[in-house]
Amino acid sequence: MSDVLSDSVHDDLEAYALGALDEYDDSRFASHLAACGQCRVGLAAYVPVVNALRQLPQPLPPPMPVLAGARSARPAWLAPTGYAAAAAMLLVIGGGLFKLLQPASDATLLTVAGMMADGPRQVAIVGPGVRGRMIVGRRARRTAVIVRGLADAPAGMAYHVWIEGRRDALVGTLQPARNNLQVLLVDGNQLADAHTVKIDLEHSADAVAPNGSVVASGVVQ
Amino acid sequence: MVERASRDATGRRRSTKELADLSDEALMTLVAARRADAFEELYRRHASAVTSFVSRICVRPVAEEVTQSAFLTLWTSAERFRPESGRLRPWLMTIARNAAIDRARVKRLDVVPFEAAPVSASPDLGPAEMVADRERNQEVRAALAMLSDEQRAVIELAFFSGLTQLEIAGLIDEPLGTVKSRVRLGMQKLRRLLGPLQGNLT
Repeated sequence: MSDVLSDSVHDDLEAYALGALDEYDDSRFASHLAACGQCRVGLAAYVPVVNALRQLPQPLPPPMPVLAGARSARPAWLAPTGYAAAAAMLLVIGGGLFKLLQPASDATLLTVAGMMADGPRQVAIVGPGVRGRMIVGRRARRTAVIVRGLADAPAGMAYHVWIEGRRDALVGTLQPARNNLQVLLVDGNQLADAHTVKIDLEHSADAVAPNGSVVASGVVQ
Repeated sequence: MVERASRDATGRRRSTKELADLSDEALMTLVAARRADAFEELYRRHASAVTSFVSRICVRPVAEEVTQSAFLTLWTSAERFRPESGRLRPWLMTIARNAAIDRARVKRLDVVPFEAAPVSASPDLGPAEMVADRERNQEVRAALAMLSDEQRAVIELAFFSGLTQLEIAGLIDEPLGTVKSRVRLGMQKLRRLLGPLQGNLT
């Protein structure tokens, strides 16, 4: 390599190896490389560096945000929307099981829509007149239960979501949302080690065991 | 290309494959016409690079919010993008950087070492391979830790976020010569530190 350092094409060796040159300088260095044995040897010395960097795992991007004002009819979860945080969204649950056209001022439903965008793990929940899904979002950080077809719980009663697995656990209580939906959002993966999901109508205070009447259930595959 | 895409924005919908063939600039024209599929393609192309950058200046939950916020700005303000002023990715990075700084006004700008960032899952590896993989990663990280913060930052921005030296200079507000010098010296140091690993890594 040349000893003349200021703005010499040789000086682009490291940036070329790293892929940090713009198009013009990159092709200029590539041409130079064909004629400069020293730079070819120099470049070979950077192969292990580039390979080493390539080995490092990289952070995953978050789920795609829910959009406001989209025109296209494609991805269902992105479809016709309202404005900004009060977006409307089309949420398709379970391969057309049912559709929900939803003014999304409800933050919980927005979160569920975001999870749906993410190719999440899902479990169908079914009962007499009841359809729903238990959804575990990306990296199992959050679980949602979203169910349609339940009448409002009578006074003093609640819809409890139970997970049966290595040990049975009460996940939480469904809360009424828009469009006759009942929704529960909890942190973490509630399906780990689970074999069954059950929704029981129970006295609100009864949180020891799933001993109410089962209104819907799902089998974890 | 841009003109054609713009005309299509009000006409038939392009297939995913067709969108994948469009330039960032053409996709931005479609995004300005509220085309979610064009946005999705841009997200697919650039979200990893933006996340990689943001994860180095923010802790995990904040980094995810900042990344999403940058893309929402792209969605709501696509018309502000000027292709003649440069590529889309550095424009997006600048939005992300500003969003991170905005957060810092209400809360300290958290700086985390790379190791703390959430990472992509390794492909299926056996136990022995996993151990070897971890050891190699530790060696590489140790080498990166030997660089100055400034050298490490420009190398990571170039390699993991795909920015050119000129774009990095704009992003971190340093002269181009300074960035070039950091890249050169940092890479030379990595070459000395990682050269002996060649047998393992190639």
